[in-house]
Amino acid sequence: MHGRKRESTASRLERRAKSLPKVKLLQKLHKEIVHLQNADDNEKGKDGGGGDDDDDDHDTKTQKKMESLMLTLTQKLVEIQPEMITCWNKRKARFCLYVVVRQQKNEEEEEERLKNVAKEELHVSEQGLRRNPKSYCAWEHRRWVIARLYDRILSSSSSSSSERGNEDSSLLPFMKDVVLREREMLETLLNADDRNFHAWNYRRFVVDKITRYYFNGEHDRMNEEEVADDVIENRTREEEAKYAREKISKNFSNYSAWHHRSVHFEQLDDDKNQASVTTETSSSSSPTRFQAVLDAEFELVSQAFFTEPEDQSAWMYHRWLLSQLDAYSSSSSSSSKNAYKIQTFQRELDRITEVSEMEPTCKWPALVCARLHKLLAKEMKLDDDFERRADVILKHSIKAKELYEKLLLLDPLRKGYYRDVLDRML
Amino acid sequence: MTSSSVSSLRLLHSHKHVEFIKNSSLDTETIEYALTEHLRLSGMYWGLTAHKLLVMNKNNQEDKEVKEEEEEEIMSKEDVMKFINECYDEKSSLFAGAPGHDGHLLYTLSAIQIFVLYECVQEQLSEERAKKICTAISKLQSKEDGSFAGDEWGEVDTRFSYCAFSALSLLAHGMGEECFLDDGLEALKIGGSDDEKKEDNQDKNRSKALGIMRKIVDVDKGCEFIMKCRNFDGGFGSTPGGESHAGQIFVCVGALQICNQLDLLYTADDDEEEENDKLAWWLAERQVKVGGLNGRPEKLPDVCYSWWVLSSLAALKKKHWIDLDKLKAFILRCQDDISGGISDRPDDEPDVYHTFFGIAGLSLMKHEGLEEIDPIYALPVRSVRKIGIESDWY
Ligand SMILES: [Zn+2]
Repeated sequence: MHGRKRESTASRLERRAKSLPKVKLLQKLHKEIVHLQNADDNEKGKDGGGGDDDDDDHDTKTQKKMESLMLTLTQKLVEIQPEMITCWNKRKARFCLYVVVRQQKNEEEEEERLKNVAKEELHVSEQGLRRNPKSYCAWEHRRWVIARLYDRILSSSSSSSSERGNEDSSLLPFMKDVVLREREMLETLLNADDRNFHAWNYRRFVVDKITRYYFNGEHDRMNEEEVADDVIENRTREEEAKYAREKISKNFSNYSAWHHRSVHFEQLDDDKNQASVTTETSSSSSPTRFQAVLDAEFELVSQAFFTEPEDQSAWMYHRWLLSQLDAYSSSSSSSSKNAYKIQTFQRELDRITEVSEMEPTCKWPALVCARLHKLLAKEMKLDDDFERRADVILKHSIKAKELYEKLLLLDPLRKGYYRDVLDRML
Repeated sequence: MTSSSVSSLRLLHSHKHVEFIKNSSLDTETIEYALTEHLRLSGMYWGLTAHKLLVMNKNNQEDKEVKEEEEEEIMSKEDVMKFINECYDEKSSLFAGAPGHDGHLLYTLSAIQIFVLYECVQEQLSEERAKKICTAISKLQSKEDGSFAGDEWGEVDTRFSYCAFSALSLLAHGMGEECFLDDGLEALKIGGSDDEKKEDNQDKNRSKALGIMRKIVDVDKGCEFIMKCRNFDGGFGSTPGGESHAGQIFVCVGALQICNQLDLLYTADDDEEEENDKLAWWLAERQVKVGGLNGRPEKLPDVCYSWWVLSSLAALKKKHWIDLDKLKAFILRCQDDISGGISDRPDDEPDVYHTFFGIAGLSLMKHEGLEEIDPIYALPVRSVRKIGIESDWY
């Protein structure tokens, strides 16, 4: 149990007595569902391969009754405990009966039924999330239902004959509505808890589904316009980076949003870009595009740590930006890249020194400055006129050491780490 | 209720915790019990392992008092085994969380862990069943990306990669080579021939077990998938793109360690110390002022992360990067001094889950009187040694 205040023995007993009816209900539900399972197994055991279309009326009726009993029981249980995985499994098995394409039957009717079943499942999952917005099973159920629907749409659009195609399939507009609704629901949940990683994961899934949907050549259906794949991919990435930024500006401490931004960060390789410039003669990218992107990112993150210097979210992101920069020229070193790197390290050092002067007891600016001094020393050692800069290098090394020693006092919890770093600097 | 400001170490109420675990598993009419029906088998593993950590050491020191051990037993071995076998789901060839439920990797690992805990893997698992389980696990691996699903319904999560590798490794060690010699396995992939290169010559058992695992699943691809879940901060998420989380890091580091591929975490260049340190440093940053550990940045501390974070740090050989005395004090402050049990934070309601992870965390810090726990397999070191797992990671 997370976050429930400790009780006295007396109040524990009282609570125990009060919850007894609910306990009995849960026990009953579990028993009935397990029984359902057994009955189900026996049924399957009897008629090996499943009957013909003209099955007994009686059989279909009992089947229908069993199905609705299963739906009621499982829904009741997952509304109390959404992690009860076997319930979801049973519902998934039933959903599968509706999602398969049976072309000999009436397609329209079939689709209507599928849509209803899908709505039902999304509703029950939502009930589960209402109980526990961090329920793995309830989220997974959602993801699973949507994924099956997409599979169905993609398979029917590729398999149906060209004369009919899926021109009049009602599943496409339905999916569009579903996806829009999913986004709304996600917004509500993320507004309630902007660190719910299940919701963030699910958002990435929904976005990815839409993107992949475009890749499968169905973009006209979603947006009534034809767009090239890489344009869509870029647009998705930009949208998600923008979304993360909005969340970050609402709350600088939203580590989940920083993470999301890192996932959608434009991994530009200047060399590759230059190559593509010459072959495709496109004018959109210039050799310094990555530098511009990186500069803007450093700017954003500095806003965050100037506002909340004790919050580690932005510092973690900053650390990663530095590593991106550090890796920038390692593949192919060029003097312009190196110059940019050193210049940026120096700019960040000045910037963060300012923070550390404002916040002398805060460990973060001290730590980042220490790292920057170390990086600068390392970088300059690789430089051609290493000799000439020997004294600057020495200065950086000494400064780094001083700061790590200071950190032993500022952040005693992690003394062991700082000692290891200092030992390696000897 | 108590003044948490006292910084001196409290005592570990071993006896009370045993009582608490016992009461929690015997009193089946509570709402906590009813709400955890679906994971009963894992609950059992937590309780029984916590119990073993508390009493194993003591019992081994005072051989005369075997009688006391019997008195302190949570459940008889017979009842435990009967229950586990009732959880076996013939349809999936996996163990379920409770009898009559659907089989799942999570509970399959719990079942095997309990067998190892009781030193009865071969006694409880016929070769036939062991092979069936192995085949079931191999079928849950995606040929495309090496990920593992938890069951036939296809939920993918790095937790399940860990469950698969840990379960297979324990089976490979525990069942003995002979079980895997014939072609009774419907192996989907016969292992690559580059084993020698990756073999750890110092540990024959481990490479033997790894050889068996390679016959059953694609170990390299499985590790590749885990690496796809690595993030900007060096941590791991549940799927590619998922945010880093200490629990998820435990399973990923553990899986890599079991597969002898922890090297994947590091760049070849020793000079890149910042890069190589980033994961352990992120983990060290989980410690907050009060001494406890959180699972993600800017979150509250919680006793269960004492395990997820500390075991990962142990696997990376960086336990000393945090203040262990303060962590110990935090866990001990979360004890219920009156009725036993450990809670997520001081002065909250205790439960078996946090009792186990609190004790496991203390055990990793070699708390006096506690049996040592293996940070990868989450079982007493003594138990995994019995099946030939000798590790150098504590
Ligand atoms: Zn917890």
